[in-house]
Amino acid sequence: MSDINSYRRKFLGGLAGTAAVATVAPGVFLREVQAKPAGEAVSEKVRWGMLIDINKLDDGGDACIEACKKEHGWGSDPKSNDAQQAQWIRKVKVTEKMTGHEVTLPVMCQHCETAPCVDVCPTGASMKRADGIVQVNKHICIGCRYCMMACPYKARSFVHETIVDQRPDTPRGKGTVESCNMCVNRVDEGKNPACVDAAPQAMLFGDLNDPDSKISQVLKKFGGTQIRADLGLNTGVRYWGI
Amino acid sequence: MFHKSIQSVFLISVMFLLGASLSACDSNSKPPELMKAVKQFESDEIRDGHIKNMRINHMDELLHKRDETVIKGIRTKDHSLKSCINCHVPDQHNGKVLRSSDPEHFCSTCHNFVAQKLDCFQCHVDHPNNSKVSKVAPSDATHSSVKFDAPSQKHLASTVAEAEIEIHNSPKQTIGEK
Repeated sequence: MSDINSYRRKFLGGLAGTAAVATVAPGVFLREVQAKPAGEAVSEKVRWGMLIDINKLDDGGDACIEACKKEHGWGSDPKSNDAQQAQWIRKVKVTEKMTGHEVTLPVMCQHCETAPCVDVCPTGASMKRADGIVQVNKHICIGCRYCMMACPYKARSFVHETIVDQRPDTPRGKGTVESCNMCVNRVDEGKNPACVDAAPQAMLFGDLNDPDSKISQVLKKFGGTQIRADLGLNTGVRYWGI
Repeated sequence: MFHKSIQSVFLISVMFLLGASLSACDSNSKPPELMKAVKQFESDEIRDGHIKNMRINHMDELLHKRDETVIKGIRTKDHSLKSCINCHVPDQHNGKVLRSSDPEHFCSTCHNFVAQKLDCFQCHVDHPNNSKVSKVAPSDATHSSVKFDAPSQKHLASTVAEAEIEIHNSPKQTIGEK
């Protein structure tokens, strides 16, 4: 097993103790997370991540979904039927068959470190920014929908109709694929993603590479579950309570 | 001989007609008048430089900027399509939202004139769309100022109390206890 694989396995297995955190970002100390200057390119020193405590989401994530719809303007495309509507974030109910125990969790793009959607994209439109945010570069997306097939989280949607009156920071157009982009426009300004602001009691956003960030500290202390951790994608979105 | 003279008369008249129609075209080919920008530059010199550069290079500037923004996250106002729209397209025109399908739209005026297809507005909004700015709770501009201590045990506790089952053997239920 290569060094990277063994490191990742440790990280994934929830064994991420001091050793893992120390390796995540060697040479990065006590850095305040703040807005980068607008003219500066995103850096791979940062890896944005999110932690969701589903037990503190009383509405199962409805507020987050509404905030996302408002921010990005999806979900009410007039000519699309229910199956065709875009879904950047959705509520998933999981029931354990034996006990009947149910949990509801919001699921969106998990911002994988090794994203399958990026692997399969024939044009490079499905991309990961240096700071770990996975998104679609719609300028070169040809709408082939390979990424929709590849995504294990069903996070991607296809726009089926001509769209007008888009949000200025979220261009959306017919024939392209789209998904949660962790509100890149807000993150670049130093703000939290819209869903995190809508449910601050249950969601935390921050830099996973910075050992001093709140999210790194609580993840180090309490761990965090990945959905389908077996796929080894090292997701940027972690959950508590599943 | 007679044939030849008819031919030459015909040719000359065709050429004359062609010339006349071309000159007519020429007189109509003045560029269309563009809608005045909402904001004005501080000096005429800056404005003229802007016009001179943009007439020739706007497509290259936008193409360059789009990759800078999407891939590198560089969001300066220079050559950002949003800034272009905010300045060149008014919020309302004659009481209506001005769309790229309208001939008065700043971009469409020229693009229609030169019969150049305009793709930007298939995805980007074609007018300043500030009226419906999202009303999400304002962020305090920091990524890590939220109070967030430990995984909530509420759910676990109630489950245990109701069902009176031992949860120690279930790895699913002990996630928060690490």
